[in-house]
Amino acid sequence: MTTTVAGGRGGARRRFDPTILLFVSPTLILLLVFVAYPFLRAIWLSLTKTTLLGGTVGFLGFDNFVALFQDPQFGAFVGNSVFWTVGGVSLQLIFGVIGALLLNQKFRLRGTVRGLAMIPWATPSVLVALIWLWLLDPNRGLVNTVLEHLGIMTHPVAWLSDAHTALPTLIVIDAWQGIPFFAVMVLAALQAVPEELKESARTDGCGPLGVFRHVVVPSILPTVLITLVLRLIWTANYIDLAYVLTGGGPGIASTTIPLQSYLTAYKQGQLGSGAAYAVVQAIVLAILVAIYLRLTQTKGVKR
Amino acid sequence: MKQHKVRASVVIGAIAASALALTGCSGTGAGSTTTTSASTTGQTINYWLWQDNATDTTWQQLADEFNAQGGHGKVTLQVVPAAQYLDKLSTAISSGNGPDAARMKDSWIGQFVDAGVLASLNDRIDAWKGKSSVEPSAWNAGKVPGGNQIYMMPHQNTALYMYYNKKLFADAGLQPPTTQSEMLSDAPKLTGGGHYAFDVRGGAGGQDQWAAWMLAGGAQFVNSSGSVILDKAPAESVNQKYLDLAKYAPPGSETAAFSQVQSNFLAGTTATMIHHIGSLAAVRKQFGDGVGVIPVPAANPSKPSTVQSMSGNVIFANSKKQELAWQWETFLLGDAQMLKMSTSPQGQLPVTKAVAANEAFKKDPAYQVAITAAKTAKSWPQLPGTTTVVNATWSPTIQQAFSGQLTSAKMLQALAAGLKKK
Amino acid sequence: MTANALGTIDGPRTERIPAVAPPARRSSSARRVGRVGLYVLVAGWMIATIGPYLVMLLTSFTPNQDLVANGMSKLPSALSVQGYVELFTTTPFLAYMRNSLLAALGTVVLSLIVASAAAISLSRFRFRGRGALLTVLLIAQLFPAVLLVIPLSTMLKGAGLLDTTAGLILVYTTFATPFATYLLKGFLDGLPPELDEAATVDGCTKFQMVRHILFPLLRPGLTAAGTYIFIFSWNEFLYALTFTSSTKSQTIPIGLQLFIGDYQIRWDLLTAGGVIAAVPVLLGFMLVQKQLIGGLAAGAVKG
Repeated sequence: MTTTVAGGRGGARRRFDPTILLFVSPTLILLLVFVAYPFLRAIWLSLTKTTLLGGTVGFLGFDNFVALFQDPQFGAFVGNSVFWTVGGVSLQLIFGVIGALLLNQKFRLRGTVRGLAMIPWATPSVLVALIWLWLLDPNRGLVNTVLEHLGIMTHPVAWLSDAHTALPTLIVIDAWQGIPFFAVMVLAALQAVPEELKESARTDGCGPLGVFRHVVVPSILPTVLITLVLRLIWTANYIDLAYVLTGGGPGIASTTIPLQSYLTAYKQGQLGSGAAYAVVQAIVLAILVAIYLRLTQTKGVKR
Repeated sequence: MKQHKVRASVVIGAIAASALALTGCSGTGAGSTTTTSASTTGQTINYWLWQDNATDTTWQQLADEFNAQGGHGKVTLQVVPAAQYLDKLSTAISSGNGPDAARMKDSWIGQFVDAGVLASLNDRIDAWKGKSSVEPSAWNAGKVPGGNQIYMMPHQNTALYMYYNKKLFADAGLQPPTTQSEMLSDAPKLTGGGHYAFDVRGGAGGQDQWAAWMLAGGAQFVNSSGSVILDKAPAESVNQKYLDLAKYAPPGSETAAFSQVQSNFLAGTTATMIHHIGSLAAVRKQFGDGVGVIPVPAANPSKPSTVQSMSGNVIFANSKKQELAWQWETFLLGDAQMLKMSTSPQGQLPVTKAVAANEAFKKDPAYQVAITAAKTAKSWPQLPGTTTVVNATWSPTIQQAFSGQLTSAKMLQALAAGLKKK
Repeated sequence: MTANALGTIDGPRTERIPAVAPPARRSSSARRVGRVGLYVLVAGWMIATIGPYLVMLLTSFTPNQDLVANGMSKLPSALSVQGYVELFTTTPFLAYMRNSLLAALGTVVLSLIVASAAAISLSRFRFRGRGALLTVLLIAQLFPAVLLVIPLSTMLKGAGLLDTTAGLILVYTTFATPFATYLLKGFLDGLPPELDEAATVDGCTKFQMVRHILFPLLRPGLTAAGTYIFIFSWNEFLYALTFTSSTKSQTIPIGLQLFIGDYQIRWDLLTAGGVIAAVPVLLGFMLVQKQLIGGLAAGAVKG
């Protein structure tokens, strides 16, 4: 790699600097070995019949994909994926923004509250699952106890065992875990809103709502959008909660495409078909990633 | 708790006494000493197992006994939870990280045999002194259709029966059911006020109690020539009855695993539970005489059937310590060891003639029901597709049937298709 | 957007902005209602966030008899540490903790080295391919784990790294480094380049400048990045689930998941495990949360 000495006077001097290569190569090597190569391998796997116990037994071309799209359950997987991703991120967006607005206010112990609010983000996914598994226990969990005491429910609801409530329940849990991240991102953006703009809006006669609409929102919009896309991508890939709490069930009520990929590979032992589901997921996500890149580039923050 | 100890000590005392008499006069029985083989001293094998009772230490005690014996290598146990056992074992084997030997169920070996990862044991068995000590029918559990190779050493057998809570039945003014129609008419009367009739257990592992119901109702997995007939009559109506029982099951039953089912029954929440002798100790500890054991309600009580499941031991073909694994597995078939396992809190029916003839087993009414049921029991067919069906397909499929997304017929078609898959 | 890289989002700026712009027309009682409403909302948020953890804590000290009794949950009759005792004496939980700790610390060390090197290059040096590298780092974070897990397990198997802590460290480093690099780059970007210039002009090689000038100043950034890496590694579930199979290398999330399968009726045991799993991460997080949140905002949003 050639290098330019930063801020050098009298023009840039380009010369090859091995230091740069040294500094950057570990990252590159790791990424090549553990990301790029497996990615290509996964694509190859998706074109074969490979089983967990028996290894690769044949090349199938696109047969795995054909079978995948023809599977009557595929529509359900897509629906679940969309519902899970959009539902979870919507809740995170709405409550994250509200949370950020709250945290932007001045009040006592604000620093502590900010720290505490982030705790679900720092918690292992299995632990989040465990906590909620206990809270939602049909017979002894706090949620049912409170709801029955308040008279809202007459008999216990098995939140994670009922096909109608399983996925919505998972979405709520995911939102609980993900709202802090959103709140923090938006909070940072809120604090970066130039005070002068707000002042001038106020002197122009805008009330607090007007200031919010005309000054704050446009300022934080880029951040919100970027966070949104990041969370969409991340949530779409997130299967820990479903794996631990419902295993995709009851039936396939909470099975998303990435979860189906994992179950096909490691529960049914079909690595080729599992890889095919993962490739489909990756393609959809590539579109989202492209959107993200477009957004960050137009923002012009790349230096 | 004390109640249980008194009862158990009487039973165990009787068994122990007869065991002493047994070993005294047993000649060439499986015996408790294994053939010494200097070649395995200094080796250690990894043995995987699941436990039906997480706090029982019998397996560890047997391992310690084996290790203390000397004259051969040692064994290290690795306990894996039952609900994940097959997944983890398959992953480990496929990654080359698997154990040398493992506990396995007969309904699982189809896929493993198909992939060629199990060692065939015929030569070792033929050369084994203890061969004749094992009930001849037990060997079949380790075979797959179309061959005579034995891949699994039998160890503990179960035939599923049904427990019922005497008090709940008495409160409802009911006699325990003998037919499936009776079960369905009793169920509404046993449900209400926080009580339920039955756990349909749609979660992992529930396929055995479902199979017991199906077989008792006259349905078959395969016909005599080995073709899958699960989707043929009368399976659809028998299955429908099972699906109907879900109305009388506690919340969460559609996705429940065994620990919930057992805790519901022990807490008196459910009136009945289909399971096997492995839970007898826990059930007796809780209820003493307050629980009864009956055969799984059948379509026709004079033609009973139920599902049978053999837990046995396999040796993996790529293990470099197969001799030591063999020594461990034949050690478990020794009379004293078999007796110890079968009388432990997670014990099941013994597979060796000498131990099975033990008086104490014959006298216990629960064992009587189990032994009688075993005579007409059938196991899951050992097809290559069976492993996937019992481990991955059955649970989501029946859950969809419970929620009404699949009809009884469609559910059976899906399962039949899975069984037929190569 | 220029968050102060050395400081945090709690920096001096917040002192200048009044939290609530008081319009002249609002009566003081309306303001009081506003304040009360604010505190109510914040309190509500705290309860929803921290409450579940407190429930878990309480359950872990509840005697098991209270928990198995049929019926709704009530306050424990007495406090008992039986759950913890059994957790440590009858389960391999200590082994899980050891494995988690080793994996996390190993990942922190390795990842900080790799990420620092990359961040310094990206922030300080101009070279061809710099923009591309930034994009690559971004994309690497967005790869679905389900896509890579299947081929990665085959690769690790071939290298004999399955069921080893070393294998986990390698994989975790790969996936923790991109975000850590962004964090560190964000901090570095806030350090005035005049410092390095001065050093270079004085005759230091790039290497010396990095070692003697940049690194010490980078310490707060390293702390934030290190904490992020630790949390990531400690919490990671899917790769650990697939790559480990015995107590040799299984980490706490896997241990918890196994417990859920085995001991679903032993909530005292389960929640005890949960509390122990949560404590290190939460403590560490609360200690560095200011810098971590600042780094999060600065690093991620800059894109």
